[in-house]
Amino acid sequence: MERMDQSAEAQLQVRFVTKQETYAVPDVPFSVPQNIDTSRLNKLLNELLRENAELLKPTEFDFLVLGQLLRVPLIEHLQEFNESIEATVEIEYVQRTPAPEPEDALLHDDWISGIQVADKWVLTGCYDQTINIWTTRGKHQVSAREHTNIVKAVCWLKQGDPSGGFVTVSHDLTGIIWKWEPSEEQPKPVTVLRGHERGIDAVGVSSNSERLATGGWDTYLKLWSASLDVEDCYEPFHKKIRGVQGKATIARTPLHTLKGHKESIVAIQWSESDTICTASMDHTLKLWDAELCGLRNEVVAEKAFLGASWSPLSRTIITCSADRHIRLYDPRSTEGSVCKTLFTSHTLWVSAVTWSQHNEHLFMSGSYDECVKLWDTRCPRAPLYDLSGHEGKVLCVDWSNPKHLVSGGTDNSVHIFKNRQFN
Amino acid sequence: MVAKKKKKYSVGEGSQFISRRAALNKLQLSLNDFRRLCILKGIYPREPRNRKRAQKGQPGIKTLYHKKDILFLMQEPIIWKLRDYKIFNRKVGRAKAVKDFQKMRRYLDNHPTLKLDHIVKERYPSFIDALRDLDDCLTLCFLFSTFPSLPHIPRDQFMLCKRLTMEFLHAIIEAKALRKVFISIKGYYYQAEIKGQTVTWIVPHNFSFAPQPKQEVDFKVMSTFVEFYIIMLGFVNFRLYHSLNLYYPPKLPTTDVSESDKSLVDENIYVAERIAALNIPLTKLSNQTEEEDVEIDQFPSDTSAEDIEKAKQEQAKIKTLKTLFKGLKFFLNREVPREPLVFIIRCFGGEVSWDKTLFVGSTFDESDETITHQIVDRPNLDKQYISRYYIQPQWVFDCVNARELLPVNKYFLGEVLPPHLSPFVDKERDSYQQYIPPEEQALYDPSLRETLNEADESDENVAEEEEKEENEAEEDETEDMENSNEDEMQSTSKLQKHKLSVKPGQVYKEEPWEKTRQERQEYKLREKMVKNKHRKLYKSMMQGRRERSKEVWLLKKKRRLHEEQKTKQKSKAKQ
Repeated sequence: MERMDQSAEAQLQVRFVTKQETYAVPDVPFSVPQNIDTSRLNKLLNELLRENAELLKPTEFDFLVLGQLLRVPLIEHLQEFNESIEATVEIEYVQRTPAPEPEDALLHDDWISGIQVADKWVLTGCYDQTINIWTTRGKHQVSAREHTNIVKAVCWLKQGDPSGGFVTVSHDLTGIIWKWEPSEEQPKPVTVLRGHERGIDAVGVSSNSERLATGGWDTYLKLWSASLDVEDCYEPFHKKIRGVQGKATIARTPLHTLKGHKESIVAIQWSESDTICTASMDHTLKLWDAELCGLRNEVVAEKAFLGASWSPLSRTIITCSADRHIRLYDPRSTEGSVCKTLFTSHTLWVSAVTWSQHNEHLFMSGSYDECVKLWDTRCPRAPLYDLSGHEGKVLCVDWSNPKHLVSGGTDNSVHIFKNRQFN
Repeated sequence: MVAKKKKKYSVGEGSQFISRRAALNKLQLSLNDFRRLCILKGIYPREPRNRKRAQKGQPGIKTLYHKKDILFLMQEPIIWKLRDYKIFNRKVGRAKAVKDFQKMRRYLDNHPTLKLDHIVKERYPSFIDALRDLDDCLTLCFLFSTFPSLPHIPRDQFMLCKRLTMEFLHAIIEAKALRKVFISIKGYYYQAEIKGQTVTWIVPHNFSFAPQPKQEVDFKVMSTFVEFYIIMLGFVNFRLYHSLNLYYPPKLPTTDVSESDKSLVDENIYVAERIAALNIPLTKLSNQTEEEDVEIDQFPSDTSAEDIEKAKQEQAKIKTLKTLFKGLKFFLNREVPREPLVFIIRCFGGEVSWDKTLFVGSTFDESDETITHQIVDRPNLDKQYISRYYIQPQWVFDCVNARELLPVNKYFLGEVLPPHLSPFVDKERDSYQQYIPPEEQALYDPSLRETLNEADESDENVAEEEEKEENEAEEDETEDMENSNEDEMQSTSKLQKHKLSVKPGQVYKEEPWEKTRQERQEYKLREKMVKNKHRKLYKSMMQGRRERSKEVWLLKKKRRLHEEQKTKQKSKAKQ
């Protein structure tokens, strides 16, 4: 047993464990002072690594004790879980997620309500009824106005592939499917999705890009065909809709209409190609079966939801509600409460959350208090990083491209942060 | 035919109330007579719900009575007596004016008297009803028994009050009904239990009567009350004595008294004095043995086992209370208040005596060897017997309240007495609605007793500790400033409009007041949801609570200031 400090403070026995073989240290118990924190543990670990395996430069580690990241002195962390301090504490260490770097700011004419990234193209929907496409380097490529009311959400039809087209939904009761090649100047509207009785707030595309679902203020969830083929509709030819630019565009009617929610639907996401999760302001999360067109599962909460995101890596849903907390739900769990963790750090309502596509533990959130935060699910009390810079409420966030963290808000700007882990 | 028009105020509150002047007109009485009649019959003015309607639209604030009450008064036979008295006064006045003194004397001999027996029966149809109203009656009678003759008040009222109150005390002694006592500024508080009813009364201290400089108290009104109460008390005494198998009026057992004594003193006065001494047991109607203990029935279905247990424990306690001072012999010194002590000691089975020259009725002398306790109120005493305890009078009262014989050492001559705690404390009310002094809290919670003792000792260390705390607070602040690191990344020229930066996340600390604030908001919301018809009641309830807690706070503040003064004096004395 090696002693760290010769002082009269109480000592704890710890053992270091890791999943990354490059950073292995011998499995010997150490005796450390009770109130040791992350920085001192880092120093200790770096010294050990220097002794055992020659490393060129010291690396920053994050420590996991009892499944949660260590952010307070060790003894406080253990006391929260009512763990006995007699047994040897197992500390797992992982390489710390590097801080994102600010990259760019894209200035628009009005509030940004929807945003999504595919490859190096950023698609934004704006409150001035236009949709814009920018490059991640900051160059404005395209601006198109086809809607007659504010654009609420945008989504690329093929994940990561901008040439597959995109869909935009708006408060003018319609959604439009567009066709676009990156080399073209203007995207072409293919069909108009007509069927909602009130404004549409959310859209989600299935993973095989064949169907899409929209939901809005009329509380109905409508499923449509997402094909770019114009012929794939049942409307007779004479019932075309006149587009804004004078060209007639053909309308498309929904394949199915799913009734169930009592208030507006705020977020839609497809999971596993036949289940749709929707979050609504009627305090519920509903999981629908897309094949049978029925309700599969339901999670009832205390507050209205403002946004939700499902992760294929961790198979859990994070939601943001009309209070300042972010909640993690596991709809499959049968024991205990369905809400697994509560993340608190924002000071006002959280408006948008999204999972990371590459890591099962990371997600980001944007809130009305002008902050965008990067979180790790293993640390519910403190976010990993605060990305500040917005001067107005943050309305949408996106992390579809693992390299870029983007957010847009009421200060008419889109902020892009670079994720150093992937460079 | 035109239908009869409905007149305003003919139904509802307007028809239920009648003003005082209208009542006087209806009854044809003068105001004084009306007042007297109302006091005797127990009729009071009422507060209507809507004054405008009750007063038939007239402005101002009038004294309003229920119309039904006045109609009830109209059937009262006393009214004729009151009118007869008025006529009698007129006749006497005329005779005096004409200087026809024989006639005047004849009239005065046959003056009309008021008989109130039927009123007592009417107001209190059963004995229990009379017991419920006995509090005020007793207090007023005890008060009047201490008065000298006042103008405009019949002289025999004082004598009757004295006699009746003494009889009542004898009844309590025989029944062993006394439960709680308390000495306060107002006087001696006694609480007895008769036939399941709690009767509480105050006996004023033995101060001489001071005539009031301003006419604040209307003795005539009080004397009307006393007039009714002495009749009532007479009935109550009669009933009590018969239920205890005693002769009423009380008779003393025949003792051999020398002829010379008898010839000097009138027999009535002789008996009255000895009864007033409260020291001699009265003769009984028949020699019946004492009631056997009544067993409490078991009703397993209705009441819970806990309640039955509690009742049994209460009964056992009261049984031991009745023989608290049994076998003890007390001797009262001259300076000690004789009446309350004699009453209490005899109530609980003890024997008591005093100096012969003080009052009649002393049974044994100071030099009696078998005296166990001598009650003295002086700082020191010259001649002391070894075989008896010399204690201060508060011991007797505290023993009764504690329901056991307390250790005598705290009550020796010259000792600082422990605080005299009031037994009239409702244990169910919490400490915000009722002031419970720290000494009493220490009785219930022995752990607090230690804090009481420690508080006295640690007064000196308080000043030093305060200084230490201030230094520590300053150090904490500086540490917090150093710990917060800020990692600011450099912003390029493009981003100068929007200062994008990345900071490591701060740990979220839960504020303790957030939860309480949330709860308070929810409570206020629930308050708003109270129904309209319950709203007034709820408001008055909460107001009552607030007032009581305010009083408690004031008392606590007084206590705190008093203690601070004491410590200041102590520290000054030390210096």
